[in-house]
Amino acid sequence: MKQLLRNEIKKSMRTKGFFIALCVGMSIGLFQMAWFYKNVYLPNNEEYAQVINAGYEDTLYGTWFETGILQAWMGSEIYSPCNQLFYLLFPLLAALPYGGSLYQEWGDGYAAQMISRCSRKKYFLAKAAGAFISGGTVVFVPLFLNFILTACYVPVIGTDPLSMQAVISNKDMWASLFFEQPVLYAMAYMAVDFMYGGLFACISLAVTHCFDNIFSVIAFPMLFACCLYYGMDSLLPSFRSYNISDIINPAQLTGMNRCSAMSLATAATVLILTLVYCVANHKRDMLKQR
Amino acid sequence: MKKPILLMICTLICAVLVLVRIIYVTGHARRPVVNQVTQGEGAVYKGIEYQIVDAVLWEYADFFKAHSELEGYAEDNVGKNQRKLLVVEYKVSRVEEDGSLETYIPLQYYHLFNGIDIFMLQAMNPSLFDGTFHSGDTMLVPYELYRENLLESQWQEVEEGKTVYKTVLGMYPEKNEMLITDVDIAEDKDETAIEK
Repeated sequence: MKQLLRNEIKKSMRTKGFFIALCVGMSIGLFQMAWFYKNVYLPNNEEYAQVINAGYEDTLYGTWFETGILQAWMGSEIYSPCNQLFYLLFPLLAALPYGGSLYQEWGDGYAAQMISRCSRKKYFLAKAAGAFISGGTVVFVPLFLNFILTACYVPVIGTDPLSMQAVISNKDMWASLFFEQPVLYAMAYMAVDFMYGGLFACISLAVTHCFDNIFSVIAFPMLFACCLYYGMDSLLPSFRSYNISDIINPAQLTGMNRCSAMSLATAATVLILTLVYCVANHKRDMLKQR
Repeated sequence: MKKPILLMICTLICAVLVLVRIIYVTGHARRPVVNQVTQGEGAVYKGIEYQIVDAVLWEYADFFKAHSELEGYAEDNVGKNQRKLLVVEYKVSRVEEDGSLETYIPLQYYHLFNGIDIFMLQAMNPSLFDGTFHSGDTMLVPYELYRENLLESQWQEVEEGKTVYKTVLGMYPEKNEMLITDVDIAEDKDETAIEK
């Protein structure tokens, strides 16, 4: 089992999809950094130069604030469209590395070979582990690198509510961390995103047998997330706290994220995913190709 | 064998450089000097000294019942126990000749802040706007506290008068925070009208 697991994880991190997804994610992160530096950080510095010399009668007197890390980090910065773009592509980036691997392996007979050599359960478990880890990694790395590189020019300080730069409010999830412990807030959400990246990749595995082409298998998680984001939000606004497409964004755009709701939604997602994945592959004839 | 070790050393050097840079940037953050004063002490801002004399917490509807002259500023359809009014009385004294009075004094508590209704402020302090305000006079500033912006536990603390508020003068380079730790609950005070 260990060998199988190691192989699947290695394979998942070496696919073309993994590198493409990583490049796309990191490009968005780098663009966001450059955009923020030019359009927010530099003008704030210019304002600093004016405020520091302002007299009592000047309207700018005493009104300046330092930009904190969470105002600049891609996960919680909403001045630029990069946060929205990244989280729109999130499920696609997660599924790209290894989401289509089960589809391919059923098609070329590799799956049948593996099942005949090790148990069905071990193979599918290792496959899911590979997809989970590659899916999580491919969304975690751009967020992490963006945080580290942003911290090289924006100080790692909390946000003063008076600055009116906080994207979340007092009632939102982990508000204390956001305002006082920005590193912990970012790390907590990166962990959530890693987990959901993995889950989105596993969604692709679970729906492998529902589609006739690999593109649909890989794109399905993103379509599903879009349906949740635009459909469920509009039709069932009181259930926004349980909407997994809202939960992943550290900017908490709906203002309805709650820890208990997130835990419940995550548990339900894992359960449903596991059931669908197991049922879809439980008794599938290994001689039956696509 | 040499290549992986070289790669590892380069990665380590980069990581250390990045860490040093992060520590440098964070250490040189342009944070304001926070000047925190307790209730009753004075804080000077723009050449004027502000001293909190009193702070009274009213149930929203009760405040406007007790001050009928301000009824025009009351919002309709505010549910029972959904909003409170914290009225803070400041004693204002001139310290410098060219001092400039600041009427926008936000209230900060938990992780939010409240601004001021400038029209209600004007109605409660007509002397501020008609030129008859003098150094040593007091001004009353009303702050509305909304239950919908707070967690249940936080609202409970507000109702019990346990919340610590801060009124803030200036953000940078000096941030003056005047703490309000002693809040009178309106039904406990034998006060029927505010007189100027």
